[in-house]
Amino acid sequence: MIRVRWGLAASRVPATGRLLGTTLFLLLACCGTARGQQQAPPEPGRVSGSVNNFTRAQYSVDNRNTRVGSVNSLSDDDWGLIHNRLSVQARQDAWRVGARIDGVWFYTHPSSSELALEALRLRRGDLQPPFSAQDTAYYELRQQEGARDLSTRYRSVLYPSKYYVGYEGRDFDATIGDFNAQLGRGFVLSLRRQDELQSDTTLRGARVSGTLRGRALRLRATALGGVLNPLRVDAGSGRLLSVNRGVTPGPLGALDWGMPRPGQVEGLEPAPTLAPDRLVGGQLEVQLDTVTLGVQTARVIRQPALSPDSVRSAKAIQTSSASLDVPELWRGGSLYTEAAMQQRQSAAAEPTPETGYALYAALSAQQRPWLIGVEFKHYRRFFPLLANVDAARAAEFSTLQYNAPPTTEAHWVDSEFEGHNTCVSGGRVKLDHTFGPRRSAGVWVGHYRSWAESGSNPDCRIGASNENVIWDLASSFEQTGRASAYRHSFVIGGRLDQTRHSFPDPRGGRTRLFYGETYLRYGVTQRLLGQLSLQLQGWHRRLLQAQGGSTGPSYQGDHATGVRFGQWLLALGTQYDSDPRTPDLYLNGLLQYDLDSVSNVALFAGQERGGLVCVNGVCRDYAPFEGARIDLTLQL
Amino acid sequence: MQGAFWAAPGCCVNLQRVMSSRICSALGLLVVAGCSRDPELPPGLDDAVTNANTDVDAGLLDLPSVILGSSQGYAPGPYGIEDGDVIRNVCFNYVWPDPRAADYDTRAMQRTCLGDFYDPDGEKGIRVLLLSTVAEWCGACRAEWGGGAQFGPFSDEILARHERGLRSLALMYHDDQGDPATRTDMREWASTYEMEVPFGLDAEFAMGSFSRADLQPFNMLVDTRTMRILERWVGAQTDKLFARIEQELNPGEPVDAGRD
Repeated sequence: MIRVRWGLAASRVPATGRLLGTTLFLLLACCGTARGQQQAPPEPGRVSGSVNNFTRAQYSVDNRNTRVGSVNSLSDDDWGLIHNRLSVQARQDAWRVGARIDGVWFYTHPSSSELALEALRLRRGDLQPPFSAQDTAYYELRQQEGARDLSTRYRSVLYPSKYYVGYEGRDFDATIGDFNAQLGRGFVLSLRRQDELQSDTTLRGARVSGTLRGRALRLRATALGGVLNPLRVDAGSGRLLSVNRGVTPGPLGALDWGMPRPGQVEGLEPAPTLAPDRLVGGQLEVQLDTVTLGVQTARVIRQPALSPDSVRSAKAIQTSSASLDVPELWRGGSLYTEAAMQQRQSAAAEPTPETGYALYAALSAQQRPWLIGVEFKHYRRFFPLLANVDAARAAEFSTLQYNAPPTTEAHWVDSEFEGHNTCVSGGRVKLDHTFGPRRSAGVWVGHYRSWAESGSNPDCRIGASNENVIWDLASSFEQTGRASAYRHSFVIGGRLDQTRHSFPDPRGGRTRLFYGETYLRYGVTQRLLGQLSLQLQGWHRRLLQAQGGSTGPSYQGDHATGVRFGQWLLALGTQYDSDPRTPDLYLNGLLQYDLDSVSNVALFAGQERGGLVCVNGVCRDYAPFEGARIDLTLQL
Repeated sequence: MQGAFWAAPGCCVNLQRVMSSRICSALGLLVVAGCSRDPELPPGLDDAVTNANTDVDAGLLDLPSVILGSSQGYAPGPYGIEDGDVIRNVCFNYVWPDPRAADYDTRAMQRTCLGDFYDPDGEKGIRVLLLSTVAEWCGACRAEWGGGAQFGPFSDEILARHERGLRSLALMYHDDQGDPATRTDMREWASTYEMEVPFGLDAEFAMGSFSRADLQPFNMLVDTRTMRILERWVGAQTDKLFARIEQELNPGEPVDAGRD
């Protein structure tokens, strides 16, 4: 994985605002007035269906990330789009069919000439003649850079993003077309929709599953195969994933029919930014009473890498695992464990990498009022299955991956740097105590050792020279009121990441402190009067990063205040960042009207801080946003 | 012919089409393509290139960090920016051939052109050229130049392959704030990592044609017999990078790039 500022883990400006905003949005929508549309099961033989449409109109202004000489920091200013996503589904008895059409129209955007002129103006201070040969050379440089950037950006498209037909019986189901899939706990395959990351990768092909049931025994087998199909347009940045005949040979071409193609921009040769990967896999689960044994495997077959690295350059990657799930382990306890192996097959003339493996276990036990949870991981050369994208020309998609090895950390953690999770041992112990039916407090302690965090180490060589020692501690408190009248939650914690060896400190001398953080997270939902409810949500951090961060500690924070009254929601957000490389303050507001429990119209205006958003170890880097957008969500 | 620093075979710049600023003339065009704004160039900007002179004797400190180099005696064009294309001759005016040997004195900097590495007949003993960009804010770049488990410091790894024909030119373009790098920034970097390989200033970010300013580390391998771009890596791909270097230095032999 690659990204700005720190090879993998991107800018140290986590986009907590986006995650908070989305969470606030969903929670208030959830807990507010809901005229639920409880749908009765359809009568046998009757056709039922739904139509969902999402439309967004947006205009982005200067997002204050401009850097002299950086065309990319200019090309994300002053552009607008209208994005429409139409989903249609129909169902009759066990049969179901659906399709989704995505359309994006960029009604205005900069040209390479405009970008080059602006870059020249920033360098010179003005655009008044006379111009020197150096000015012209600089203009040409930036124009070429701009043309290269725009060749994969702001290209209006209309394409069938998802479609499927399926049969869902009691003991047999089959799908042809697009479907999500997860095998095990994410080591082998994890294709799920993740709205926080604006990701919805499916497998476009076929899946069949069958179940044999006995008295106490249940046997389920699944086979699947097809072409991996990520979303092709990132509406937040205008970036496009495009294919051409060269990367969709033979039958692949049929499966990619209608998908965005690269266009020619100002003389640059069109080139794809996605080379679709193929996948075949399966799973066998044996359930005896409540205990489930599972075996799952998947083989990713790749084309020549558009961006060579340890994962993308493999011709094929075989990942297999065996799992044991005991959801009822003595009284109130549970156990899940999974052991996985991963083999990357290299191209000819390259040495075969050593096989990787992963061991994972999660154990919980309950003895009221105590609940203890333990998660453990031991990974060696176990890599995320990164999509074959051109990471240089479509960087927004560089973290796209098809699996999600568990991190054992809190879901929001965004400070696993570089290849942390590919060569690591450690775990977390969490202890919770309940005080009555609606109040609890907890602590956790996490300890990890990683050998691929402070430098590239794809072979996972173990040694003190490349070891990071991490401690992660936190305490939490939560209480809820009767009939959900209120909910208060707080988490305060810290993270200390040190190397075993010292390294040059950019501030002078040498240091072993790789990363340090203390933070406070809170969420308060309070029903006030009748239909009026209030919500506060925030995440405040003090960060210190020796390599790639700002010089000295920095403070970042997000706070959102929301008020819901009946069908109306008003939310105001504030974000701040003391890192001298970014603006200090961001303000935004959201006004939403619920047409019913699932349809609404929302207006957002203001500023959002960019940076990394991670959900259970899968991350996405967002550019800062400033502007306005109006969303219309309809379900018929 | 587009005006392109790296790809233009000559010195002339096409005038851009002048469009009415932000109003597209055809609704159909608007619907299909959206509205790309093409501004009119300021008078004189397009003419200035005809006076381009790579032999400007303006004093070292007055020169920009990068200028076009002469195509005479260089690999013939057309020039491009993609893998397989011939890279244009570009000169960097502030380069240390060996920062450590120069005691990190910026007065020892000199002009170095890509053409200096052009070796079609092998007389100079050069096989491949590694172009590497560096930004002060880039932690992964620091890890690269500082060394890790599998590879030693970048400078040492490059020098270890010098006899077999590897040459390099590292270029700094950003300071830790994301602003154009200066020679002072270069001195700090070079002294921190005790660099002994050529290190230059690219304040204009000429390398932006091959990568993005916010994507680092970036490395590019060039075949010095033809000056064709062999491969590029974005991100910390040290193992892949040196595996390919070994492949170029020892064609036909199994590759084992990492140290024991």
